Amino acid sequence: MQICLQIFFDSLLLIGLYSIGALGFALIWGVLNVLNIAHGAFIMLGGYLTFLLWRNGLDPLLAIPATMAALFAVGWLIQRFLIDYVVSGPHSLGIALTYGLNLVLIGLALYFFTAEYRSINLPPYLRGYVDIGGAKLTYVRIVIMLIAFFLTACVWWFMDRTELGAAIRATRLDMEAARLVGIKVRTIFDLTTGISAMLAGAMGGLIALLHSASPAMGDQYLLQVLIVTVLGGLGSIAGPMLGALVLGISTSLVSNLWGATYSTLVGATLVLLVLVLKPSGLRGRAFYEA
Amino acid sequence: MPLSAARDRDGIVLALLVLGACCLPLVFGAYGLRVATMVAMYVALAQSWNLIGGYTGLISLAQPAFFGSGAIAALIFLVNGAPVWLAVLGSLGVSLAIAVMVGAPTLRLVGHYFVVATLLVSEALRNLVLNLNAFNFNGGISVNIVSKVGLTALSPTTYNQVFYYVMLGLATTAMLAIFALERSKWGLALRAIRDNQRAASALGVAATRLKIAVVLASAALVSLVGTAWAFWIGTVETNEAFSLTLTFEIIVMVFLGGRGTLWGPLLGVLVVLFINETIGVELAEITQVVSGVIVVLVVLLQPDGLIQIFRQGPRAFAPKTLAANLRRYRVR
Repeated sequence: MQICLQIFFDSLLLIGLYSIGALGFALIWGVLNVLNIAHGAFIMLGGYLTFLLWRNGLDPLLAIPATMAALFAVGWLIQRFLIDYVVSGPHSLGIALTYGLNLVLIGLALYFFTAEYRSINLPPYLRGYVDIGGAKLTYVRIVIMLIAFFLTACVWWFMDRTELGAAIRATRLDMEAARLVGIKVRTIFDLTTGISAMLAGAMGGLIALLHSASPAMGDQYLLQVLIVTVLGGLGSIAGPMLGALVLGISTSLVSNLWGATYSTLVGATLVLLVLVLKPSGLRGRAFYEA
Repeated sequence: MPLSAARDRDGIVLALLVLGACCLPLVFGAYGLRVATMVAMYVALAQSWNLIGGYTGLISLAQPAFFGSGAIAALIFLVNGAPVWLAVLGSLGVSLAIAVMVGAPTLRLVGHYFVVATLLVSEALRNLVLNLNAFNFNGGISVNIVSKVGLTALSPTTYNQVFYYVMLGLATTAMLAIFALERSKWGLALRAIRDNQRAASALGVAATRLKIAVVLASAALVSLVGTAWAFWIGTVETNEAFSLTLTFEIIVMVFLGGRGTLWGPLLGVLVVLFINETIGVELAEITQVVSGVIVVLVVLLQPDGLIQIFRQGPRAFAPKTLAANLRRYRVR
């Protein structure tokens, strides 16, 4: 019973984190058809930015929105000045470009912060835990879960209920038609990458709060994000969430039962099975649908 | 220049290069030979990837699976007392078996799904091997297998020379494979698949069969390089053998030089290794930033690779050409 509850809470946390990371990743993939390797670097930037803001006296929970705003700007600029120039080329160019960007950002992080793990000392109100049926649930985990689920809901609301979200969906469906009805496609692209980087930044900030920030964190979580994205399939909000659900539960199950070394293996095997059996993902659609 | 003349010239240059490389141990010291062996190894790996990524257009990240299985399986064979020839053939067999298992399902995938699937194959295999507890292997082997390769009687210098020639042989094989491909109808068929698979199939190109053949050929070469690498350095760490970084490095070299060409990957290997040797390993993060910046610049300004300078001359780096390259794939 106790271990079941522990697995349940662990997976809730992972589902929240993976969801926001994968939603951002799937957005760029879907709208721009770019496999953004630098998503990992965005996650890492978010982690370090939250850490830096906290070290300069900001409350960690206030640092998260500040980080997100900064990453939104970073994403916007990277789209405008870099990714815009490869969007209509062969898709290997986008991979190469974002891989180069990833190298630069991780190299800079190594130079300025070294490979050391930087962790945040929690403020008093985040310390402590509640005991539910023998399973320990720390306050910080509860807060992170709530933030993650709140952000997921925000993304759904934005994509589904606002005019801008509709414009993004329209661009994704048919770029030329979107242009014809007066949508500024380049601005939509900037916005898309901005939102994606913002979500990656939130994920990184929350991870820094939970564990620590390090130059290697980006690549490590990029792998999980890839697994989640392909598991769920593109084209819907529910897709990445379903993927996060499957990966979150299997990861926490496996690491609680056999040990953490098997979790990537299980995730990767799941994805390969899904790709073989249903190449569009568990809940894949041809285009964005709520 | 007519096509046949260009091909004859390619053949002559290649023969001269190999001949020159064979004489290198006469002039190089230990350090120079080590670098030369690295160059040969990277050329072999780069051309194997060029076969898949450059000519067929499949951005495969499954190379670590073949390199790692070639290295680790050979180690396991040796540690369990198998002779060297069996270790080489056995590990080749393991890699080819993996290639068949991986190739059949992943080659049906399109676009980014193929990239992700091959990446996950490598990562899954790495984690599988890390968790492997059998055949005197516990996620790694701490034994130095140099003594088991059967060349202990040799002096260190001769030992290194042996592996230089092994790597050179593999690199030459890879270069010759691409050279032969450029002269055959299969090269044209592969490019047709890369540029438009549906049209190629409609014209009677057996796309799937060709793709599987290319994956197998590439896997075999990479696996042999992995085995040679393991024998050369002696102690092999699992994470290093299955390292994705190596494959990304290789891809960067191919992109930098010019994918889908005979000389591009060689050029890319030389440029990147030269930069790495110049900046040095003490400043690893600077090397990383510099190579990242180079990748970004090449993708934006010279997407066909540095090989263009040999095709167009200095015009390839004229501001006007660069500006046109920058605009080429821009969103309108």
